[in-house]
Amino acid sequence: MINNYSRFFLICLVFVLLYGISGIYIILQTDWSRVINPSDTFGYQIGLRILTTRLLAMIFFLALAVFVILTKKYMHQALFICAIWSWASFIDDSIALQVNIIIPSYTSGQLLLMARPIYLLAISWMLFEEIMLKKRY
Amino acid sequence: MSNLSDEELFELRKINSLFYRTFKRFRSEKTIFKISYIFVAIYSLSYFVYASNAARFSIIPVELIDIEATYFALLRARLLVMIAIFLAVNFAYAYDKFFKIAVSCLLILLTNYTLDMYYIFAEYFSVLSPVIIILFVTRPFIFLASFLVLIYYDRY
Repeated sequence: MINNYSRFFLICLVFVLLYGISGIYIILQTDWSRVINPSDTFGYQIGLRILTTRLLAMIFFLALAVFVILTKKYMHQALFICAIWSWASFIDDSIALQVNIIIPSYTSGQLLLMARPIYLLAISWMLFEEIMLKKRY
Repeated sequence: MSNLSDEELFELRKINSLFYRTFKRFRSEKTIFKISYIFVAIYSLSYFVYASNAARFSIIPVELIDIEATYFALLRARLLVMIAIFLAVNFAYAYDKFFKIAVSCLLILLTNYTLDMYYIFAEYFSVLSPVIIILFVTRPFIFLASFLVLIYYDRY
């Protein structure tokens, strides 16, 4: 399975996996009350739920990645779901949620957000290469 | 110079038109596909027309101006994404290219937004427009319809 892909694909795969693992680690280690901007109960509840959904999505996609790597099946579908989901979350976060609700106050969180476009490009490239590979065979 | 008469040329142009070809292809599809696709089309049209009423959504504690602005920005972003994806589905069907990819994108985005809406945002909204309520309630059917469209699509 690995031999079919280019070296750049494998670099992207490693980057995406590292990004996912570090994202989970950083979100779990962070004091959420310092990241969620609104101090009232209403705004805090929203921030809490957004962070929880993002964390659950990351854990789900990492589990999916492990499943795909172990079974060597459903790579195309898993990459497609992961890429579309990541783009949708990125649009939501960058347009609306990072403005008022989730504001990263730690350096690690800021680094995570800075690396997010690179992660999106990496996963989009992986999806593109996977589609091209599927067309070829 | 062609030897065809004006009427024949008109017929030929009609047969070659995108609308005619799409309509003919649609008529030859399976009934279940047709019903599901019509439902998706009606839903997307109503969404396009009535989703501008999203600006009339009101958040229950209205004094939280920042949060309200965030909600409106979020709804606007999602509205644009959904309009783009609905247009993409219809164009993909008309041109018979990337249709399955477009419908898969629609399904994934619907899943993302529905989970968000039910888990994060739903309880804080009071909805004023009845059409939006109907669109919200019929959301499981759009899942089903999109899934059926994906399964029963016959590529030419």
